[in-house]
Amino acid sequence: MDRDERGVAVAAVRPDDAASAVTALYAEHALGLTRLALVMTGDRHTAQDIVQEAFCGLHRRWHALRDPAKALTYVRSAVLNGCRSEFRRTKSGLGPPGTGDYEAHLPPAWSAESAGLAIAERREVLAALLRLPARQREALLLRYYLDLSEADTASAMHISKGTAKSTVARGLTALRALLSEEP
Amino acid sequence: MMSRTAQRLRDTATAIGETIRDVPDLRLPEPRTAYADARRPRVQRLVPLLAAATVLVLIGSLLALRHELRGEPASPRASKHTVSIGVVEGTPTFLVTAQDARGYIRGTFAGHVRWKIRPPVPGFAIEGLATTGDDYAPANIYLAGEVFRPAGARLEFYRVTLGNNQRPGPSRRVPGPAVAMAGSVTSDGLVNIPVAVSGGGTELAFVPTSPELIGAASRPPMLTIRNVRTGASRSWLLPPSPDTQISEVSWGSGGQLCLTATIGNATVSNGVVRRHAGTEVSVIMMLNTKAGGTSLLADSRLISYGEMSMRSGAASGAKGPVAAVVADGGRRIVAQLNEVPKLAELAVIAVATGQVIKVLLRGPRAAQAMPMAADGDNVLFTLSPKHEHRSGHYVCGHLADAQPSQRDVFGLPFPVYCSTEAPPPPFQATW
Repeated sequence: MDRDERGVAVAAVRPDDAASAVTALYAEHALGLTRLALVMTGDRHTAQDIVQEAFCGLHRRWHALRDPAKALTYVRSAVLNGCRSEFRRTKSGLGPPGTGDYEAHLPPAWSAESAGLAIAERREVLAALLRLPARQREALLLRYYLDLSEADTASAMHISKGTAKSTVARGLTALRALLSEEP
Repeated sequence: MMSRTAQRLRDTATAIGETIRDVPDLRLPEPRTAYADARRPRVQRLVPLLAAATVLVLIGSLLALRHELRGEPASPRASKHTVSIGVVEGTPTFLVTAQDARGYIRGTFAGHVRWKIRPPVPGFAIEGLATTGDDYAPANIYLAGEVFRPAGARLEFYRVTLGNNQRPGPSRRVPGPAVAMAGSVTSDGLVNIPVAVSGGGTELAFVPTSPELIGAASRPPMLTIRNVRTGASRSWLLPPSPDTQISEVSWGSGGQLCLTATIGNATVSNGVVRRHAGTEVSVIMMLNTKAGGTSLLADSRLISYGEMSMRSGAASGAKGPVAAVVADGGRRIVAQLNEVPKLAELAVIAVATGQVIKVLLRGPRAAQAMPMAADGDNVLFTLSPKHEHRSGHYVCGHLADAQPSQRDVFGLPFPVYCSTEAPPPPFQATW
């Protein structure tokens, strides 16, 4: 079984069998990526759609992939791009974060599908997260939700390791300030 | 060590993420092109085999072409009629749907709502849809619907241009007079008004005499074409009869306007529809939109038909074409054909000859296979479920994508609901 740059198994990646390789990769990582997309977009169906499209894109470009072990990195980046587009799209019609208009349009998954989110603590964290710039939000989620290393966070975001590190640090500081925490 | 802020972030994200316990199966595109540059050496080793295969394919294509030129079906019975779950390359990534008089832009892969289409004016009930453009070109959606005005119900048309990410822009009213409805109560999205837009997006064809519309019974069945820039209109009429109705219109990219209709007190003789008491015909016709008359029968060419007695028709089900759309640049029509008893087909008909050249689907799953729209080689239609349900509210079909050139049928994640308790509003879709 091949392994990606972190040594994580990426299933039976056979260059001559794109469909089975992509399907195996999907079976192993789709749930995690869909959860990430849900956190970033707030809508279950949109998250599923983004992940499906990311894997379809991987399948289309499989033969152009120089290193099949990087497939997971590729699909992770595609999911991030999809979430970014979706967030831009849905946010554009709303008022600024923090206003009543914005809160009223918080995606339903967060209120309807998770009773636990009624807890004020999580709503507060989520609202703060949504107010961060997109890059900082992505970096924080990759680093602290997906538990990626700085190197993996950097490659998923197509930035250098140093930039990833500083983006995470700045994001954390901004989040802390929004949550009115003591440093 | 993780800071408190990071820990709170992780807890929140984990709580949200865990609301998803599973994911749907992956819908991979079916490969169309098997060879890329990186694989050329292997291809070169297979040159002799490829050459032999090419010769066989050429022979097969020539035989099929000969059949088609002669107007003979190219072994339609040989198709497998299988339905796959998946979306192939080239399938439009979004479609436009209307239900409960409201419109939506939805993703094809998972079926989720991307955008809601705002009613152009308060109280506007969407009852007909047509689109131009595709995934890669600016698309216009045409909405047909009823509005309640002080003078009574009016049928009006609006154009919505899609922007980035298919976001609906503001609605603009299509010039031309509103069509007055005889009654004063809107039907609120419970009827289906056939609408089609020409390939160039300059003309709109619609049927203002849907039998469900209030007051429509008192009017002869009519097809109207309206210029969307000037509002100038022309209309063609069918002979009046309580059993006559135009059920679908479809405009091919090559300019061919196809209509499906049931004509009461009529028969077909020598390829021409004539008056005849006691029988009715279901027809697919192509209208010559440049013709100068007002008779739909005189200005149209008959493509396909089925005839039945008006006494037995209701009991034994419709015979002949039920719905049809133009595909493949106007050279072919994809139609739902019903034969008595209980045999339904989704078939491809050659426009030049009127012959069935392919059967995409046959049997129970084709029982409600009503084609709704065509975009390139993708025909959107409703696919009957595998098992019948007979009571309550139930899923009576799914949207599906048929590809006439490939003989492929793919189910899409859009359930269609029926009910034995109260008729649900019609589900309309186009791409």
